[in-house]
Amino acid sequence: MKAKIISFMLVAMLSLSAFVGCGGTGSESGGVIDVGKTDAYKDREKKIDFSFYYGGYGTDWFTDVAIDYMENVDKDVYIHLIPDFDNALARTKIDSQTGVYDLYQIGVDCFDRGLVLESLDDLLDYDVYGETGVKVRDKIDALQLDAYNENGHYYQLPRNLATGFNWVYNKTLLDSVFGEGAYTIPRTTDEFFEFGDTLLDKGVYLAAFPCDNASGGDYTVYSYETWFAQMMGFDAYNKFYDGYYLKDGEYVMSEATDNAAIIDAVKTASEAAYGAAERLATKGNRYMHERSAGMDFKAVNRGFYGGKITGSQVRFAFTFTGGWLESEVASDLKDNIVKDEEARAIKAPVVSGIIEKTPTIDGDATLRKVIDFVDGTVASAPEGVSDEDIAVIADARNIVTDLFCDAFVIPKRAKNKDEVKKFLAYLVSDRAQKIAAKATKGISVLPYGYVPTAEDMGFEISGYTKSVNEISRGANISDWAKKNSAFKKYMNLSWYYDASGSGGTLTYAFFTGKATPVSKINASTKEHYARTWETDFKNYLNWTK
Amino acid sequence: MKTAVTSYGNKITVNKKRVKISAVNVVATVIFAVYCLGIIVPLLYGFSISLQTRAEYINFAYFPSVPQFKNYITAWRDLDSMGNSVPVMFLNSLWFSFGTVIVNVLCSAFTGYIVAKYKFPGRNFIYYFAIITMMIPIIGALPSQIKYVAALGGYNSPLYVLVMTLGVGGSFIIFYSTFKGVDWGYAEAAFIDGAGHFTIFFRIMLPQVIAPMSALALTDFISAWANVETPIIFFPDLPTLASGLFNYETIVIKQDIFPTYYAGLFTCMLPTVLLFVIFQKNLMDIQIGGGLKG
Repeated sequence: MKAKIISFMLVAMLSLSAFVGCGGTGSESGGVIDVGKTDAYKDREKKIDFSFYYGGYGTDWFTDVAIDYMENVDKDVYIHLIPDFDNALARTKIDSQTGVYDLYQIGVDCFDRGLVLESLDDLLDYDVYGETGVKVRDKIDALQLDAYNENGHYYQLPRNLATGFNWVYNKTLLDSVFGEGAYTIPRTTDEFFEFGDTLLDKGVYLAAFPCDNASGGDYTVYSYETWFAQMMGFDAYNKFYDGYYLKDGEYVMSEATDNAAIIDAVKTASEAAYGAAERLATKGNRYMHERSAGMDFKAVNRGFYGGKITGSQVRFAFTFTGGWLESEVASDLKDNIVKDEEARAIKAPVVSGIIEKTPTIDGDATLRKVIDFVDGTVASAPEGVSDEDIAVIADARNIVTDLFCDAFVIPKRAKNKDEVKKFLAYLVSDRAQKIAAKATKGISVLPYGYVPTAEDMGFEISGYTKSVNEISRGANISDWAKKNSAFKKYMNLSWYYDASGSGGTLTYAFFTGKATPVSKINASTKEHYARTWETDFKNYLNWTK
Repeated sequence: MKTAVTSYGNKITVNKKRVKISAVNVVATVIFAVYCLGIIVPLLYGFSISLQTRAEYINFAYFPSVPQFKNYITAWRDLDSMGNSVPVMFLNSLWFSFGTVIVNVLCSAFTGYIVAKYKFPGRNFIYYFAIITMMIPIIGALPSQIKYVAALGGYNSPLYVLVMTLGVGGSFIIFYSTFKGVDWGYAEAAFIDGAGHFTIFFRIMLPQVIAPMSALALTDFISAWANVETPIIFFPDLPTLASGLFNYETIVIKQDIFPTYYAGLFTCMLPTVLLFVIFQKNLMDIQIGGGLKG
């Protein structure tokens, strides 16, 4: 009898499966990805299998853009959208040339893959859809066009938003702590730490970072990179990664035995940046939230917007992240897991150690006034500060660090390559950019020159998105990965080497007290490159031949 | 002393056995109790999560304030993997599991019977081939396997089930041994009565091995149902429930929709649990009883 009842239940469940596919309303927010809206076009003659990375900006913009293309641009093509969750695995498939799709939007380095990727040299001379006389190359930022040039050829169509990673503060929280307009956003790292001390007295931590980086999201290393770039100056920073260092007032190219020389040449800059990072992230200094070690990026996002933090009632005011922050918490807001609070991105605080290279700036107080001047907050520079030193600070204040590894690529084994290229020529158009921006609440997820406005979008663009765009517009975007720098690649060059081997990010190493202290960082870095430099340099020289 | 009644209706006296409580018993009981709790509690917590809202899950609630049974409907209706809904994945699981069972078990039964009961050149070679191939550790055969399957049309296709069936694996050894133990006299008697080879196999020999065959079928089914790797590698566009939920995990982590995901997992678990409940007596008898005769 029991077996009969159970058998009946099994049959009923099997039968039910045939019926539940019908109809139904949407699920709780944060539900499944719905790229099925493009299925209505699947009977078309030609098909493009388009694999895209499912990132912080969501998927709606892919769907909206694809539907517009199929409805209004090319009625013979069906764009089959395939979300991908693992950039590295997608790249492996491309490398292996098995089971590849026709088009990838991929967020990892795809340099040096001319053997497996279709050349896009001809694509750059395609006419942009709907824009007479405009070529695809005209729509791409010059910096990115240069960064993606591989010995005169292109295999990737850049999609990097070039808005970088920024310090972000919770405006609602700070307004409630200090009063609206009653506080100054820190301009220097010393001021940043003073602000942190004041906040702690009021029961709020300065910042939190996702030390539990298993699912990614700890971008703080880019903030340290920004500080290093500030100390070096933008041009010198780029020269460093190309293997040049300052010797007797002139830049010279490194040699096989120059490992100590190049590291010593950047000693001041690296110690200033590393020291600021150490001060920020050391647990005992209490700038970082006490629970940071156990937080992943989602927990940090939620805590930032007033959501629950495991084991703590204390909030924090700052985090370091990208323009996707609001997209990532949208579903949490809908489910009342976080509060509806305002965030703003700010320019990176200038590392206070910069006054070592600006002799006419006599202290942090003067440095802050110079920053006010370069920001345009005040009309005149402080007295006694030279134009050269003002230029140094202006250069430092205008640096944003980003990761230039986001592009569209076509595998060599793709079908319908002409159709794919035609689609790409549409993607860079203002029309496609506008549609994509609308789907992402005003963010330029297709970064080819179009600037979203409230009028175009039909809604007010959030204060956060506006602040991110404002910072990056006209900024010097430093490519942290420097993936197209052969010297950096072969030498695995960095301005610091943390010998602790903590198994996590540098921030985690600082937080847990395992990182190499700043007093030893120069020696540690030299020691590291003493082991590897000569061999790596030979490989680099072979490549240059 | 206790009185019991036999099946004949006679009353008999049964001496009550005194159970000795020793330190070893206590320690063993505690260890096994902790072990059981270690298995049961996570399952119960998982079930609790499947009934929570997303907000309750994120805020680390132990129990749902209001059980959300709709999560099961949501999982059934809205979860998908590469555009395949749960019902579609369920159907894929069905053809893969049943197909594997039917083809693998039948083919192994055929080959086991023939090699065990018929004399022909190469008979011993087949047997030893099966033994030796099971003993050799084959590392790195996957790329060639993929090429082999693709060449035979089994890649991304239900034909995989046919293509990957050899009939000389572990099941073959079991059937070989079992058929070896079946008296050939039954077949001889059937031949005298005019039965052919097929009749003898299907109507006389196969029913004799129904017990091990059922056990093999059950274990093959359960194994195939829960198999994640094979669908991902050999038919990625036809995800089963197991592989589909595995693929879906990345979305779940990004969106924190664990309640719906857990509901999907429990749904996926249900057929194998039900099958075990129905056939547990058969399974346990075969597992425990074999070799305990006389």
